[in-house]
Amino acid sequence: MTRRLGNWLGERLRPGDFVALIGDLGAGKTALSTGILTGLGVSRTGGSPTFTLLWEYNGRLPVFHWDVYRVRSLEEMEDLGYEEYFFSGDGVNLVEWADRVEPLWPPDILRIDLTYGAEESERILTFTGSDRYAALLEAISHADFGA
Amino acid sequence: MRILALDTATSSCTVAVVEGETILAELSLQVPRAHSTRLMPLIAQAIAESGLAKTELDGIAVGVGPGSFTGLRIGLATAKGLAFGLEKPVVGVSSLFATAYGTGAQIGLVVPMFDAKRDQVFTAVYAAGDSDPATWVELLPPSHRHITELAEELRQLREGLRHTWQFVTLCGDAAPLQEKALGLGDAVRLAGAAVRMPRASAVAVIGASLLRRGMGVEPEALAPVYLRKSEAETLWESRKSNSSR
Repeated sequence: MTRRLGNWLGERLRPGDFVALIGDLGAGKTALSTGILTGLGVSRTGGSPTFTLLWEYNGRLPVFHWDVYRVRSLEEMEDLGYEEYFFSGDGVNLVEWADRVEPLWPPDILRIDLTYGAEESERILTFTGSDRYAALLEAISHADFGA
Repeated sequence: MRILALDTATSSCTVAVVEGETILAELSLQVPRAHSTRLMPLIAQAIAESGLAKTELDGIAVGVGPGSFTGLRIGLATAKGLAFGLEKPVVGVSSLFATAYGTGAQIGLVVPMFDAKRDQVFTAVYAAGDSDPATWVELLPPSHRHITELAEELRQLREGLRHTWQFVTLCGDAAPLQEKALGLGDAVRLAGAAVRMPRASAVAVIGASLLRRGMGVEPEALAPVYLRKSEAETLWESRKSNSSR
């Protein structure tokens, strides 16, 4: 279901959108990301194993898929030239472990917090976002992704 | 003097082969984040179209920024590799100066601005000279500035100048975005689209001038101008102290 939700979301993302995924290991970030990438029309995922901070894809939009778990300092992000991606305007940024680089976030983001529910397989997803995402947040609250 | 020149500091991926003041070949693309795949084919094509053999080159000139970190790494690695392999000298040219010189402005101030995002720019200020790059005067060296800081610095700089020199020509990708924010009114002109972005032909002419003055270097001595900013670190510290309240 997490993946289905991701797919639904990916189909609706627009150029310049920034999606911050926040949650512990096993909380479902990978499943959600995979769904979002599919929804964005990215058919081939998983990049070079030697360079896993950022994967660039050309789906229906340019997609910048980040996993910043291993980032040790913000300086490292600067060395990478993160601004060219975070502020690209023409692509979608999808950032796993986004809380680790919070000072670098652009002002308009869609934040998704993933936490464990009471049941073993239960996950709670909380969506927050700036005005830019108002319509999307409204649609999410009414959508049915199946149990 | 025969020069191969390239610049990848901005979204412009530009390559030229120049002999003296003759631009034998120049190829420029506007493709964000694709320099790694486009640069080498453009170089191969420019050399082929120039009619020169690569062994006939006297040197390689490369734009050293400031600008896109990724772009600069691609450009410098390529220039160094070619210089090393061909055993030719390489010379670094300011991408900002090359853009300013490339506008062809002949009087007044020339202010190149590359978009560093969030209303910040990589910029410099030059007093225009003639066709010889050595006649241009650098009034503000390449710097990283918020647009309001640059506006204030420009205001102060212009105060001391005679009126014909107070005119400002803007170029670079941030120029159309930030023209109004500089508050220069009628005293500002936006460089035409054909000469607004970095051009390798300008890098080549400046590079040749530097090479003639013995400023070529060994490939390993060439370094990019990143103009690292401490802002993110500062922000990081302030957010940490806020969240620990």
